Amino acid sequence: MNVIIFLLAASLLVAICFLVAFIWSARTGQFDDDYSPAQRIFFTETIENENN
Amino acid sequence: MIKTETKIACSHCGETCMNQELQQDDLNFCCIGCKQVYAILHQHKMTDYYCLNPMPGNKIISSASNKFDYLDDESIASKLISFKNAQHTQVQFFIPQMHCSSCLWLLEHLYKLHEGILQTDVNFTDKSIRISFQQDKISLKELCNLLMSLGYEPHITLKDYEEEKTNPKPVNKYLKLGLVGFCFGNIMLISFPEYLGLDLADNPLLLSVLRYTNLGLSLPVFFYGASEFFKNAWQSIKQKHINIDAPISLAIVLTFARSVFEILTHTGAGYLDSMCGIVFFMLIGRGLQRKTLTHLKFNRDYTSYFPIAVTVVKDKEMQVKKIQEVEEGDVLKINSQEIIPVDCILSSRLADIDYSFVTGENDCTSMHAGELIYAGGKVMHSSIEVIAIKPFSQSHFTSLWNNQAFKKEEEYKSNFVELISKYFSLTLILIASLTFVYWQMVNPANAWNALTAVLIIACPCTLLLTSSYTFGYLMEWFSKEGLFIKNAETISKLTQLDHIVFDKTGTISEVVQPEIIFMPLNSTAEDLKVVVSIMKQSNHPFSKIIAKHYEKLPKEEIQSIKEIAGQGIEAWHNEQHIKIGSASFVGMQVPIEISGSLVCFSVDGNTQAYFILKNKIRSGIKELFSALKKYSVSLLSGDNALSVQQMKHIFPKDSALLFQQTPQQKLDYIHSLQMQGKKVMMIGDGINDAGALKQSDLGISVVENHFSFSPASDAIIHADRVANLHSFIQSAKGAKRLIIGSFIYSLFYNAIGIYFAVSAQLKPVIAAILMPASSISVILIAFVGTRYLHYTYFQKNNEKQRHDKNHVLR
Repeated sequence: MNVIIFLLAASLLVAICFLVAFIWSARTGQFDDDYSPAQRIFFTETIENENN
Repeated sequence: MIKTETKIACSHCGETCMNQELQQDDLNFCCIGCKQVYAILHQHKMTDYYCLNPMPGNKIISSASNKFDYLDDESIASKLISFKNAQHTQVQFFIPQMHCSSCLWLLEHLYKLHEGILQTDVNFTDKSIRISFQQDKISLKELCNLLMSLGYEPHITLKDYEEEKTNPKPVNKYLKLGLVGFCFGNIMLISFPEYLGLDLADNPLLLSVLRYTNLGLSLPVFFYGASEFFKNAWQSIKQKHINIDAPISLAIVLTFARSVFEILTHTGAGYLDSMCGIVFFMLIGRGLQRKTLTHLKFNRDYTSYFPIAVTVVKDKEMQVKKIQEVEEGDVLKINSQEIIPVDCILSSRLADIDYSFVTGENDCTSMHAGELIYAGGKVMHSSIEVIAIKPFSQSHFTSLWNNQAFKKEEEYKSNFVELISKYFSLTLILIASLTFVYWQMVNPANAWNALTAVLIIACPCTLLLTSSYTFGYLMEWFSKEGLFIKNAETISKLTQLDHIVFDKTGTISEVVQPEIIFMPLNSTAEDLKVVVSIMKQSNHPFSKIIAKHYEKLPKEEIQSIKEIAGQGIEAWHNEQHIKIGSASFVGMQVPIEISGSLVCFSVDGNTQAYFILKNKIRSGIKELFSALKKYSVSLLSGDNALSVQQMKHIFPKDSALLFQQTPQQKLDYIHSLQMQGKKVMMIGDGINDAGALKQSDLGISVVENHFSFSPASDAIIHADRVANLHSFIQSAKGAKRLIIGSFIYSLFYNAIGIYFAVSAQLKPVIAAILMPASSISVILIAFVGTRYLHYTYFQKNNEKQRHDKNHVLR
């Protein structure tokens, strides 16, 4: 049964990796603007068309 | 009514084109400004702007070309600049006009328009933009002018920048939520063996590892996640009243303390899972409630309306000075379209000043040299020179802000949610102590156990949850319907009103040009032509409106015109004496039953005719007043009493209609109503209502579009949604009923919980089922309930309107 302790530690470690990634993204302002990133996808396309 | 003429919308801003002369590439434009923007974009091959959205532009409002001259002043400019080195400068602006993906596209492609601009970063949610540019190639002033010419004038108030520096940006709201959610989820998972009946005897090592891990995970929840509840509770206790956070904090602390005790003494697993779940759900609720739109500012005062700096003429040299530093005796140069910042004496020969900003009255006055000009007027036509007689802070206009209403701290009034929580908490403490006493007598070992269990299981968190979710959802779709609420408190205030005060111009009537009705009586077409020609030379707003209306009539040369201030115009033309003005000035009998403003004229005293200028009343206002039967209403207008008849038609019979009110009088009127014990709501626009909005229990300011600026208020309403006011009030009342309903429902859960707690058999697993179950069901009720309210009060109407609209279109 004691293998569960090892599994628990391993799973927590993985989870904490994701938590750190999340904290990093929130702190660097990646959740600040929820409108423009979705719109920007369309912009690049139109510029490429222009260059062709 | 069927309109035969087809309306052509401006390809830039979508407004109706008055004439069809402004064309380019088969596109129509409403004004030169809009056409110019198109020309600039076309020249730089940036017409994609018009492909992303139909008619995305902002109407170009002409402002003084030297508006941003003050940015040449280093000390002012340095406040805006966030970074600067030898080549590059980075600056941040607030651009409230930003509203669609076209705006985003254009602002991010500014570098195509000027080689000096390197990069722009747009934050759409905050409506802010960060621009990097090379200061050798484009100055800050030129940059602002470029943005202004495109219809994206940066809004610069130094106060905002100073505030930003003192209050650093709060950490992202998702951070706390994510962290608490992580801990909650993991604790739940780790607690599973415990729920399924793993006993201490089976495997003591595994069990203690699980429990200590849980304890570790709960630390960030308790110390970081729940800290805002502790802070709020502490604040309320310091102010000697108990808000809802206080009993909740008590419950959280108790749960945590008992859990730590149980784990350390190896007597149980504690209730950490329940605690984390509650904190998590409450944080989501708080976040929903606080999700006000960051770009809306509810606390603007007069300083936002004034220019930041003025040009001071000293020893024949121009110098830019901040308005706070203007001293008595300074000679100021004020350009056309600028606002006069201080009380002063006119030293130029003539000046036209529009006080609509202060009085709300559409009136332009002519001033002569030596006359006293009060702050707040807008200079029209040409630039003037004035001598300041008072510093900025002591001028007539700003004195309104020295009123008590602006000084008093937001007084704390407990709302009904806290009232319920008070009784709830008292009952709870009573039950807990009775339980304690009972167990002391029967089995003292269980006493502490039962006492804490009662307080843990029955904490008023469901009450907080139901109110924060209901208000949160309500605010979310209120803003979709065009009413932006400052905070949840405002919604409870909305349910307690008994008197509503309206402003006229901009609230009940539209600001746009009034409708003109011409009653020719015995005059001829020739007379009209002459009269209009005379009016074309007058500056009076009525003359301008009429002259504009008859633009197409050929202009006659008029030999002699004399304007008599406050009365009218006298003119001589082809041996005829023409008088235009008020009925008494012209000497004419007018039927009394006229709704609207009156302009009469006579030719040689016998030929007579008159114009009626009718303010356009917003659609649905009449219906609104019949819906608001339960409330008493009154009208406060800064305008003249000419439209009194028209207003009498709309307002209920016994309501007070007050005209020619100064901002101070408006404030006093609201105050006098409050002295009679009434809860007053003020709804108005413009700075002239600022005092009344502040004094009232609930001030709503009206805006024409999202990005215009509103004085300090509790809520902001979209101008064309004023007619829905009653629906908003009704749904706020519905929300209140919803909260009480779901609270009663949650009492049922509490009753079960308390049964287990009182009988000292509350197992963690029961708490872990009961608490999330009650939380989630309460959230569901809020979600479904607010949607139902939205449907009953808005969707039904909208569907009807849509149907009508389709019908008309066919």
